[in-house]
Amino acid sequence: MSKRITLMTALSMVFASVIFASLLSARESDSLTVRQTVDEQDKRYQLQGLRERLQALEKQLDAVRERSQAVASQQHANVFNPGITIFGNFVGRWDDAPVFLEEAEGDGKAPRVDDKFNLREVELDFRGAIDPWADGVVIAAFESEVPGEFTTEIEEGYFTLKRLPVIDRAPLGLKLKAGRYRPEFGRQNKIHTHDLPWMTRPRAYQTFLGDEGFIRNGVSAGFFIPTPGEGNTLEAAADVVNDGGLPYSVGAPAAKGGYLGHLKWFWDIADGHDLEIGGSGYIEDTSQGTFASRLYGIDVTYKWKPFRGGARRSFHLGGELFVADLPDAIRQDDRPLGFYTWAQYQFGRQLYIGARYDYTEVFAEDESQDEGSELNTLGAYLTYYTTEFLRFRVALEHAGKEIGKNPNLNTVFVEVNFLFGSHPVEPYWVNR
Amino acid sequence: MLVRFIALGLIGLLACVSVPSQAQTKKLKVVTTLAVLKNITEEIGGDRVTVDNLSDPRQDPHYVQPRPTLMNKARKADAFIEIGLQLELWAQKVINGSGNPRIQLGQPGRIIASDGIATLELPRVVSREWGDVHPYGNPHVWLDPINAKRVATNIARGLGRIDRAQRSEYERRLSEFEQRIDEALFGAELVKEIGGSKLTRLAERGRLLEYIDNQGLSGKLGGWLKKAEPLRGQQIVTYHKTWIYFATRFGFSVPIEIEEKPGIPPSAKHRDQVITFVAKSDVRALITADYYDASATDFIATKTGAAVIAVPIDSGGVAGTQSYFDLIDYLIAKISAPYRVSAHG
Repeated sequence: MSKRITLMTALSMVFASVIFASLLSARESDSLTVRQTVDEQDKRYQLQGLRERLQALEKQLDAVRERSQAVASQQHANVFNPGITIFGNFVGRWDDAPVFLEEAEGDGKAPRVDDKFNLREVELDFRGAIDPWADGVVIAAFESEVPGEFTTEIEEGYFTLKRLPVIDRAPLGLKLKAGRYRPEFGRQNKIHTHDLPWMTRPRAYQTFLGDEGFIRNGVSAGFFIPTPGEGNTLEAAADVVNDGGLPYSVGAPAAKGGYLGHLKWFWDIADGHDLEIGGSGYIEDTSQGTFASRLYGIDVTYKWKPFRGGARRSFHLGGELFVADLPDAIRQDDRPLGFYTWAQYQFGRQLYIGARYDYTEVFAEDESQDEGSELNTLGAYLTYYTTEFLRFRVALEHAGKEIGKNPNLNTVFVEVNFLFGSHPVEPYWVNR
Repeated sequence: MLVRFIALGLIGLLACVSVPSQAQTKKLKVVTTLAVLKNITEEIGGDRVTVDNLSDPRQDPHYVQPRPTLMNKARKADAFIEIGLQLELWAQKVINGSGNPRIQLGQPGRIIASDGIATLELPRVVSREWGDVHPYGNPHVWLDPINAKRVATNIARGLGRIDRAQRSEYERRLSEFEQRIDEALFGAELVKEIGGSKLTRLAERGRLLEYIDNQGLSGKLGGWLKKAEPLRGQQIVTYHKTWIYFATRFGFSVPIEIEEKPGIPPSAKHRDQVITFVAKSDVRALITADYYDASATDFIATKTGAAVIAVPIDSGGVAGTQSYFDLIDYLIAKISAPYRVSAHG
């Protein structure tokens, strides 16, 4: 009996164990199913997130590709074109006396230019690399003295060698240039009209170098001369150019050519302060061993532009002196001189105020006409830049008596200078 | 006679041997346009280079006067290193004036440090109507430490091109620099755990924080990213479009600039718009590079109570920013200061 009871108990326990195990198994199975469902949901959720991220990335990629293609196609279209900049210089003037141009027109009457607006100059500036050895620059100018009448010229057209084909290193930083260009005579001669810090070129420039400055066809070599210390440099330029064309050498005998030398010493005095002193000499030689013309110049410029805040404050003080040794054929023992001095203060990011005084001894072909005569000019100007591409200027200029011209002329100028196109790095900041 | 020939031959041989040995000991002369480039070049070049920087860190790097003294320095250089992307418009003028053929465009000595960096703010339309736009994208790339590694790579490769004998040394120093940047940016512990390359990839894709969070490694984040935590998710107004790379890396956004357009000072109307925006939003800081006129920024600050943070963007601009690492340390400390105060206060 007891054996039977024991057997029954054992069977019951086995049965109970089986039922418990099956229940447990079912529960685990349910749990597994739930876990699998959660995992699948997680995976689906993650997959959805990844899909969305992929779509977002694809969109970003498309946008980047589109932009890069746009840039690439722009670059491709322009890659071999030169950098082109167009300059326009628009001037208005009001005078307290009639002003006539020196050159008479066909009817013999000299045109009047006072109280007029005039698009004084338009320049097209092309520049770019020619090949690995040279860069090229061509500047075409349309100039107007009488409103609506333009003369056209190639103001500059030259190439510079940036590497010598034969040697890897340029001794003393030698730079070679050939073509038609503005030689380094004085400091401002290289500056085109639209980049001048004034309304007009100084009288001394006009008298000794010409209305538009000194522009010649020739070849030039520029190089550094070693100096002690790193805070200063000495640069030299030597040019061989075509002769003729100087305003005061009209009537001089033909020359074999002109030779120009320029020496410039630049000194970084202290942070934001620098000083530049230059000396220039120009000689035209005749085949008879006599000279046709000689011209000498000295220029000095001090500049302050602090490192911090230099975009808002600066100061310039400078001047140039010219002395001419007139050709024997024109005048003997006569050495007229002229100079100008100027100062400019920047008192804001966009505003500059300045003044210039000119003095020039006047000479003419008829010696009796200009005995002891001289010309004084005083000017003041206010300049406002919106950006470096657009400039407004108002100026007052008083000119003393000039032979055969107006006595004591007072003029008010307004000027708008604009440029658009590529952004060559020179020379917008030379006088800023 | 024969003895004389042999003697001459030996002298010639000695001369031939001595030339390369002199060349090996000769240091490379490098000029850079920014002080941060000088720092990084010195990190990569070590005692193999002497580096001269052309700009002063207090200057606006867009408008450095191309003085003859700078040209004379560039004249003697074996390498000229610039950021590029039209940041240094004056650099070409300096190079032209130097007469140095080795640093002309296309020559091995001309090293463009930004090569290969994916620039931000690439303009869709390039026009002066938009102010001083940069056609190839925003050039202030060095303010993101990850880009600094790319800059260092370009410098190492560039130096290796002109000094092949030391190429492996430059590569070795580059690895060290990258490691230092990684540790400074992410923290040494996280770099050890995950590796600098993977962290960099994640950071570039904007997934770093999510990843380390998922991995339970957020507590190990250190370095600049940890220090810049108060900036994360914030809005900050800047004067010029200088800070986009810095903002992207350290997690804040620049909803509006004080300049109306790049390079164009703000009009009264635009200034008022900025004031309205700052007053309505949670902007607590106005950042400006310290060479800009601060009058408009100061005016907005007085009207809104936001803090003006005038900081240099080049190393050495103020005391304590002599190296690239110092500069980023300084910028994070200064820019996050208003947010740290408010977080604690």
